[in-house]
Amino acid sequence: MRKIYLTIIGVIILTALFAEYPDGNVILGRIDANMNARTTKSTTTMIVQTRRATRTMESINWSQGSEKSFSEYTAPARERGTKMLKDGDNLWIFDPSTDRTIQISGNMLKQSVMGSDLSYEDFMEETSLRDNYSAVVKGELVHEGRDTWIMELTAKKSTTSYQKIVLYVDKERYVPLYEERYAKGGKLLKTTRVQEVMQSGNRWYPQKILYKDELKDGKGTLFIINKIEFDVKIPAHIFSKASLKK
Amino acid sequence: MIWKLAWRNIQGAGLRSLINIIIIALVMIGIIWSQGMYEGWMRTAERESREWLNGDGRITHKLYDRFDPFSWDKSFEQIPENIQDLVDKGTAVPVLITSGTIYPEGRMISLIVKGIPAGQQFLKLPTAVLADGGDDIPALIGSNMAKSSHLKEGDIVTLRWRDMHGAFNAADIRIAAIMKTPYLEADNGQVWMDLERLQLMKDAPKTATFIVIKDAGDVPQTSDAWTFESIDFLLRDMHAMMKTEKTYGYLMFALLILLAMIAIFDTQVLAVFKRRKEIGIFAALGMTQKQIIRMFTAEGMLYAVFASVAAGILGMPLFIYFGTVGYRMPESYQDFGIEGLSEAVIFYYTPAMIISTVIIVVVITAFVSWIPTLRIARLKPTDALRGRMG
Amino acid sequence: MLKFIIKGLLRDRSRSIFPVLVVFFGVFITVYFISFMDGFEESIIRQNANMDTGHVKIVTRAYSEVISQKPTDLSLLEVKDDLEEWKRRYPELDFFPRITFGALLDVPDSAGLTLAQGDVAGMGIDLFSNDKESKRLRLNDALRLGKLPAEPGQILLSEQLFTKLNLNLGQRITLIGSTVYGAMAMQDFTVSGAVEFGVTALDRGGVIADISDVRRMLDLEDGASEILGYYTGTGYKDKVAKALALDFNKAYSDSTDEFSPLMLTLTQQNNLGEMMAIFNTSMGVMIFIFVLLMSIILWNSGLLNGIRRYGEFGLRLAMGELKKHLFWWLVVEAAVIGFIGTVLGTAAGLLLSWYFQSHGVDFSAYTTNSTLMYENIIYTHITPTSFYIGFIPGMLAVVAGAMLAGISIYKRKTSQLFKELET
Repeated sequence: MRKIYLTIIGVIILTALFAEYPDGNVILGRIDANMNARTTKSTTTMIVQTRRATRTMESINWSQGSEKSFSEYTAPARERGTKMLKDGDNLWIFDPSTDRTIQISGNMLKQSVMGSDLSYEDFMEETSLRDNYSAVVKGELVHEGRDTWIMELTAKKSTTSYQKIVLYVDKERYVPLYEERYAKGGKLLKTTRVQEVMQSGNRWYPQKILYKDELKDGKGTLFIINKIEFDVKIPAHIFSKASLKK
Repeated sequence: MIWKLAWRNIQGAGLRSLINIIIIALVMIGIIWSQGMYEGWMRTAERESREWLNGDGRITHKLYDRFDPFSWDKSFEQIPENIQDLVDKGTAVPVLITSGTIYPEGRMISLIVKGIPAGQQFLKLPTAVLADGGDDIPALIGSNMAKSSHLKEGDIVTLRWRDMHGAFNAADIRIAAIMKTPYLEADNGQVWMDLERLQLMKDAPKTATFIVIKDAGDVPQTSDAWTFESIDFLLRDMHAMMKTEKTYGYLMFALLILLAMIAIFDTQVLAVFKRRKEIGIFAALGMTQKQIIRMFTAEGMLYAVFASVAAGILGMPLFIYFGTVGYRMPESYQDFGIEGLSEAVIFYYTPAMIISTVIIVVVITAFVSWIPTLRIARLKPTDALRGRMG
Repeated sequence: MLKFIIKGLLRDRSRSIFPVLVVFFGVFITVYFISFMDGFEESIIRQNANMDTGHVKIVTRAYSEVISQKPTDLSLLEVKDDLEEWKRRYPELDFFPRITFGALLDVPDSAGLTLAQGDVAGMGIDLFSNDKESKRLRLNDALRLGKLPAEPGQILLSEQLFTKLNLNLGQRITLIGSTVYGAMAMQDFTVSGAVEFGVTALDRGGVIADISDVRRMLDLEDGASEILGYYTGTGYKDKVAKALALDFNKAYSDSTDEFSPLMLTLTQQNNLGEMMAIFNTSMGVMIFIFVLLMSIILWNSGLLNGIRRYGEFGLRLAMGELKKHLFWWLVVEAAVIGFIGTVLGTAAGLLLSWYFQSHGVDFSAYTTNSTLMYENIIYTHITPTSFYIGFIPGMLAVVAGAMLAGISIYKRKTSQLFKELET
């Protein structure tokens, strides 16, 4: 008899729990809708802190969906004019000093982009969460003064680099404020911490983000979005190899 | 008759002959001993490479290139059934390779991860320590790797890798043991773990990058994805090094032989000088100059022949000692990574080596004994009889 | 008496020329052998010093911790002024900065797009100020195709890489790596030649360029991953180098700053210290055996010289000379022969050694091709030992042989000795 009671009580509690939390996948969709646009144009600053020095790099970036992106570095002098084009699975870099366009492949893909905590491989990751992950809301938490959902994302395909992600998503603004990327086996590999958010039109968007490779010593890479425009018209030729050389 | 006379003369010279014989014998011992050392060294190195990693050759995935880390993540395939049979019989050991990164003390070190069955008996790698370690993954590294990565036994370190689909994975591995291996290809820049575990980690069950074969005679027909690498092919770098070492060895032999020949030459010159009267008598008795020269040359050669016997007797204890106990290099030489020097080198003597040494020494001795006798040809019997040189 | 003995030796050439010749030859070989072995040791030290360790090496403290990984990101930065100061403080050393780095080599097609790629291990050395570094690495010997970089922007490739990527001399290639700060680094080069390194790992993907180009590429202006120091006049002397390193580290190294410089001596790297100790011992044994053998031979020769004179001694005894007198006569004569032979032999041995000290003994005909890693030429090296070692077999052994022969003068009867004259 007792067992039956316990089971019934358990079922009631569980239903109550699920009833309280929204569908994770729906939230993912809203995050994607907030974070991704048909196109974006932004100017960003990247601050890389290594063992020896802190470097600040500035760039102008264009993107179209999650497939295509184009960046041009404007500072410092050494990097000025360096351009990067991502088109699907391919990544090209143009270097003005040598006037060369080079496809990044092999071991090079594993190296960090401009000394940051992001590798070229990370750079190649698809940005749509909804397409790649299924999510479950695991709880809620007040994170740095904001109410957030704690979400657990599981990759849909085995080819996805990070098979598990934990997100703290702002309940109101649908901005992920904190993200943990895990290895398949459950080990924490990388974290992303949003330090400031900004409003752009009707969207809320992260403004200052700290990326950190959790396996490595170091202070991480700070990414600052100075200005961002959504759904601007970008001529198609921007995302062509020809534009690298311009 | 010439040999008999030569023998008498050598006997007659007593101590002097003995010294000559001993000198030549010592030189022969030196040559055979050092050749035995090179041969033994090479065999030791070859045996070590067979015992530790190469067996009697390997069936390797066509795309595998040990110097190209990019190839490691695509050069594996399911072990063909006929080779799996050999693995089950215990006459082949599959090894799976993948690239990975470890993070000791927050630094990043890229390395090769090698999976090998923990239960394998055929290669000398102490793989038993890789068997099931509970929660953490037991791993095995070589002493050189331990030194360069500052890892100690019992250390736990994070390893990150990608599975065959490309997903990142990471786990803590525990350094279960640090092995001293003479074969650096099983040490530098790599970590060993159990094959099944690595296959699981890579999500690539039943696969391997290469399969070490115990007997090259058993290599079955395989698909185009695999190629057989013979032991000679795998050891080509080592053979090239040996060739260089041997050249310096030959130089040493030449010097030793030269030394012995000074002694023989010296003796022969004196003999011709001292025995000019005897030469005169022989000539007077009707011996041709050719015969006399032959007799003196035979004397010289006999030195070499006796020396060969003496070398056998005197050298035997030395040869036997080094041929059984061998010579062990001091510890620090071992870290230097010269293949074949980390365990006692058992000297190895081949019949060809011994016979060629004897023949070379006897022929050169004959030649050197012959040169001084050319003076005899210039000798007039009458002068000789009176004890004068021509 | 000495004058008389020498006169006798000069008059009877069979008594002098041949024995002197034997001693001469024996001593000559001994002296040459010693300096050859010394040269062999020097050659091992030199090869290591030239390729990798220098006589001393300056790196950052952080770099020294993981020196086997050659971590370019822990290089010495902006050391131009420091280097000038070090040069002033240690005028006995010649300093050469080097940079090792990893990169991706990219071959463009005519439109500048990627045609082929390969991973490379690069080395930046000073090729333009003088030819000291290219000589040190024997680049000219290892060169299989083309020529060494002579102007900025030129690069040497391993021959295998050259063939694998289907390159031509003068072709343009691009290296992509990361700067010491982690930024992307790209630099164009033209292929000036191909070399054989002699080590499989480097032959797979080794490249060499002038350090100025590599510095520009890696954003390492006035920096270096390693600064190698070489003694200009003398060779490597462990004690001197260790004292110098101690002085340097006291003056410039700061244990609280991981990027402060640290000096390592040759023997403090790659276990070379232990290796040299072992080598010295085994060389000592070889020299001992050699001198011993040579002594036996020359002793034998001294004995033979005595024996051939038995007849004469018999006659002289019959004429009333004292046995003691005859014995010492024989010994002094042997000493004179030994002395002349030894002096001449040592002189000739030194002369030959001296020649090969500057010209080297070439083994390339017998070994594999000359490459960066394998020195096929051994330069003999004259040490103080070379000057006196010859006297052991040349004088002592010859005199000892003569003494042994002389003992017979006492043992045998005059008549017996006299009879030796007959046979």
